[in-house]
Amino acid sequence: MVALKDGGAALTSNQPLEPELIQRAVSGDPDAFAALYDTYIERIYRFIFFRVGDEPTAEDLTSQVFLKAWNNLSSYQVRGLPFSAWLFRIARNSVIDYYRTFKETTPLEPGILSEPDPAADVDEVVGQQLQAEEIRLALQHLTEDQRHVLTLRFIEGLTTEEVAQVLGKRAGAIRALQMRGLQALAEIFGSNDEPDPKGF
Amino acid sequence: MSKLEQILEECLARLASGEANLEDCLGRYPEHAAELRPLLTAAATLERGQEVRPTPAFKSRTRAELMAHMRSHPRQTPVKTWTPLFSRGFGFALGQAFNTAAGLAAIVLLVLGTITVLAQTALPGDALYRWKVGSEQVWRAVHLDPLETDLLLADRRVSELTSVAGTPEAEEIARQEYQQSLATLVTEYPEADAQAVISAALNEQQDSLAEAGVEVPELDRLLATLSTREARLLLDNQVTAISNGLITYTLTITNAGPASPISATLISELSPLEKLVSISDSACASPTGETVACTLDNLTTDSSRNLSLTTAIDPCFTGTLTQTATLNGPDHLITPANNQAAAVSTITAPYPRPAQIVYVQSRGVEHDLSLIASNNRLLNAELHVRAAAPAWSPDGAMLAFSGESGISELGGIYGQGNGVWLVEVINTQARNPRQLVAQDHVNNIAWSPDGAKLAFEVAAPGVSREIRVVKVSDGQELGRFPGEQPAWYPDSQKLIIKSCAPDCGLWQVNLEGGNRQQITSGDTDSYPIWSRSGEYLAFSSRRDGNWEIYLLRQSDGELLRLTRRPETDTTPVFDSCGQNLYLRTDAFGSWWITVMKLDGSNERKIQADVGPSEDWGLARPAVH
Repeated sequence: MVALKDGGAALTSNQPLEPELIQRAVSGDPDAFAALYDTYIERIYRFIFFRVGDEPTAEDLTSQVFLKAWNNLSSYQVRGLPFSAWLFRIARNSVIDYYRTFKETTPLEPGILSEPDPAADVDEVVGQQLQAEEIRLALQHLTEDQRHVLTLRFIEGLTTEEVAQVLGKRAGAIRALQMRGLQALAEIFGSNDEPDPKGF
Repeated sequence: MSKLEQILEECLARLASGEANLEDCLGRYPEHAAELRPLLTAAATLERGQEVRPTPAFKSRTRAELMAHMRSHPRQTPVKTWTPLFSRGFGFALGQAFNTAAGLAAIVLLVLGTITVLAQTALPGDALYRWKVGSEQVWRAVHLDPLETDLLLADRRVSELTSVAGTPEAEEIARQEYQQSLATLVTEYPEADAQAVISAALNEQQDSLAEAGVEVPELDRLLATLSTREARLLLDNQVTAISNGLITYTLTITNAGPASPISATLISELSPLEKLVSISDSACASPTGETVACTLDNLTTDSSRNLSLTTAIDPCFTGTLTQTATLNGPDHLITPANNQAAAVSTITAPYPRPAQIVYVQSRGVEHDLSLIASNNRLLNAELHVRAAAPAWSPDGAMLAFSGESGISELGGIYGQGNGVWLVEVINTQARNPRQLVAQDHVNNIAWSPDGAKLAFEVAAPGVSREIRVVKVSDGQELGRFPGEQPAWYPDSQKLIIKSCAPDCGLWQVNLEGGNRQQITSGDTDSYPIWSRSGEYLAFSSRRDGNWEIYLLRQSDGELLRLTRRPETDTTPVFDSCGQNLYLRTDAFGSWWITVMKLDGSNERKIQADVGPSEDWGLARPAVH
């Protein structure tokens, strides 16, 4: 259920070549870094997409993540994180930076850096299949920490310990956030499943 | 951790490993099942988000841009974040000094290091400023990336200049130091790639200075000089051939100089209607088949690189296709007006492959099959004897037909007798026959567009006619229901049939005869057939008193009559692109196969004297 289904590498690499690729990339080998890009592009894009909600912005931020990663590979080496956890951290920070900049000119998207907006109308999607947009809307009703935990845990398929590494928290805190987040989501999804009182 | 958290975590782990499903977990903890179910369901719902993926075009484009960026911003073997040399050496030197009893040297180092650290915040005019500049030169001498170092030092000078602006004496010192930095950048890094990096950095410095209200004319002049040194990378994208359903593009990338050598990437986005056949250059790759990405290194001044792409188009396509190529490279080496070029192909007619028509030569109750091309070239007058109701497979590799009475006399495998038979058509010859269904009185065979199914009519004397649907692979029956003259809808999931239940006309049905929807209500509407796109339904009917060919246009529901003559016109068949209609007619004195456009014009003979048939469902031609 939580296991990766396709298109992504496990956080703790199960590809024997990845450590070598990372070492070569740190030494300045573009082809090695491109191979790492191929491995992680889908997961980083997906993580960002569920935070920003539109493809052009998600694409833009995803590109920036890999450019930043290349420019700052030396700082990765001294941090001791798994490479994928380091990438997710860059992605998370890029999203937060994006919304900080965004805030200057445009109203903040509900729930990203502020408290959940009770006026956000999840009922609009009642009757539709739970697709990506509906998942994203539902996630907006959670706190920022809950959103990060659930996105990394279930959409990206990371283990609790791996999520803890990305977010810099203890595994116990991640489990607590996971349960509270799922409880909130269950309530949202559950209310969507209720029959239309008008009987349409 | 609460008990529920613990159970939730365990269940998620078991579900992830495939050891258990949702009900197993709930059954294991019945006292928590009510709380657990919505949590696990919510988790499963979130996992649907894993289906979100970036587009292949984005992945290819970003990869190419990343490669270009990496080449223009090469990394060196990692070096620690800069700290003054003496400061970095302090701790190490101190320990070594005490260990070797060289205390005095250590103290000297300590003093020097301390001064150096303090000097790093000095500004022009301060007592320690010269010490700062001197320590930078030491650092510069040992740094592995001189360009990175000199750009960092230039940034420092800009910072100092903006800090002391308005203090004449200090500002003069800061200007001199900055000009010295600029001179170093110009003289020591003449390479094109380096100058592109320098130009980008200096543009940022110019912005910073402008924000602080500081003008540095030397910087403006230098940037102007650098811009004239920018390379002009030119892209040309042309359709050089359209032939036999293939389009050849030639893309030419020229470095018009003066910078050299240059690396760039080229992204070519194919039209969705094209399939990549070949690329001429090993520098190019197309992981998805939708986009071609080329990495072009060492583009020297006044040299060109030619790339050739060949794509295949649907042979039935007519219209315009656009392939767009985009050249990416270091920002300052790309001229925006020249970095994108579109090549447009206009296909005015389907790929002119002559159609192959299997026609039925009738002698009353006996039929043989012959093969002729649409250019009237007779390919095989005796394709198969004792055969009727031909139907081509969609790829033209096989033919189905009704094996008539007498086929068993051919001996060998034909001893299996009447029924639905399949043959491969190899070089205009029927080969490798096999009986798919043993059945008498088969006519009106139709091969599904997806290639997987056959529908046919069984017209046994004295029994209501019925339609059967079978798998091509093994003859397994998928449907059997009353009706006549089946034809496939383009999606291969529906049929159109002739039926009088409850009203006579043409009906659309599913493969079991259900979901009936009446399409026409003419009592004599017969021999329907859909065009490939589903836009036209052709049929013959005696609506005006004799048999004519009609076309029902789906987009506006208009019924068009293609023939207007007292003779008989029947059994229409579209060619594979749906551009022409073949039919049997006795309008020219005997039974002919003719072909006409979809407006009834340009009718011409394909084959004369194909003979009368007692059952038009056996004599209908097949066209590929």
